[in-house]
Amino acid sequence: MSTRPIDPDEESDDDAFHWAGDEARGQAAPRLRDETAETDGAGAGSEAPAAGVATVGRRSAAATAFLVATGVFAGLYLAVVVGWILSVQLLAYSGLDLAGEIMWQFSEFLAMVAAALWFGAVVTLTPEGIPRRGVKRFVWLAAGLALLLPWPFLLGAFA
Amino acid sequence: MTDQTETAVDDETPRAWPLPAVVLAVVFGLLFAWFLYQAIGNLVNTPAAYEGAGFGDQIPWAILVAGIVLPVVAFVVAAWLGVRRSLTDRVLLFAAGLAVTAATAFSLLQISKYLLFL
Repeated sequence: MSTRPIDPDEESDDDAFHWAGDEARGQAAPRLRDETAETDGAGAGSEAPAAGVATVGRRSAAATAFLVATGVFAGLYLAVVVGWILSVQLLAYSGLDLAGEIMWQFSEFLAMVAAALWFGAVVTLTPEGIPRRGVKRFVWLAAGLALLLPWPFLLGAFA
Repeated sequence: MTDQTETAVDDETPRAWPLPAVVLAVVFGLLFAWFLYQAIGNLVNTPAAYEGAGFGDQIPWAILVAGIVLPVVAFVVAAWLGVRRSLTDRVLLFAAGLAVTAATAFSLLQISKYLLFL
């Protein structure tokens, strides 16, 4: 067939049969998932009877909801980053001292990266396995969103 | 022998405030202090400026006080959440706290201007 040399960067054929997001829907190829996460018939048969299957199924749904909710928050935080980038365009330092000017510029930088830092901190510090993970992650994400509303842009746009 | 045993125990249960964490807290504390200093300056100078300009009845006390409270709360919460965590986690917490302080300072400033020229 083809005489083209095999590209070392080319990924294996398995990737062609894999849809992005399959993991989130619990439909990934079996070998990409560990046995404990398996939910469909083949995997369930070998596991503990009825109760065990139900537990596995419910955990998977919760994990999916957790992932989707984190994704929704990621989108909102991205919007906040954009809001702050637009906000700092509207701000100008009114003083004349160098230290104030330097800190003002630094503050503008901080304001632009604030949402990304907050999101990163919350996701990093609520890893798998900590108690009440969902509550901790989403309460902190909601709090950050409320704190970081880009008021200079919001007031400028609708004033 | 006794000393070695104690060292081993210390390694297993990390101290709340090892030296690097203290240094980190001091460095970030100085940056937080800048925002606190600005907010105190605002509380001291803004009322007189408002009265001088004839807006004596519109002094935004809540905003002035919030500007002082926020840097303090952000620093304390970041320091408290970082106890017994790795230095990396502490840096992340302080950086997020400082960035939120900077952003809220801008928000408060802009809200106070908006209220004045409403």
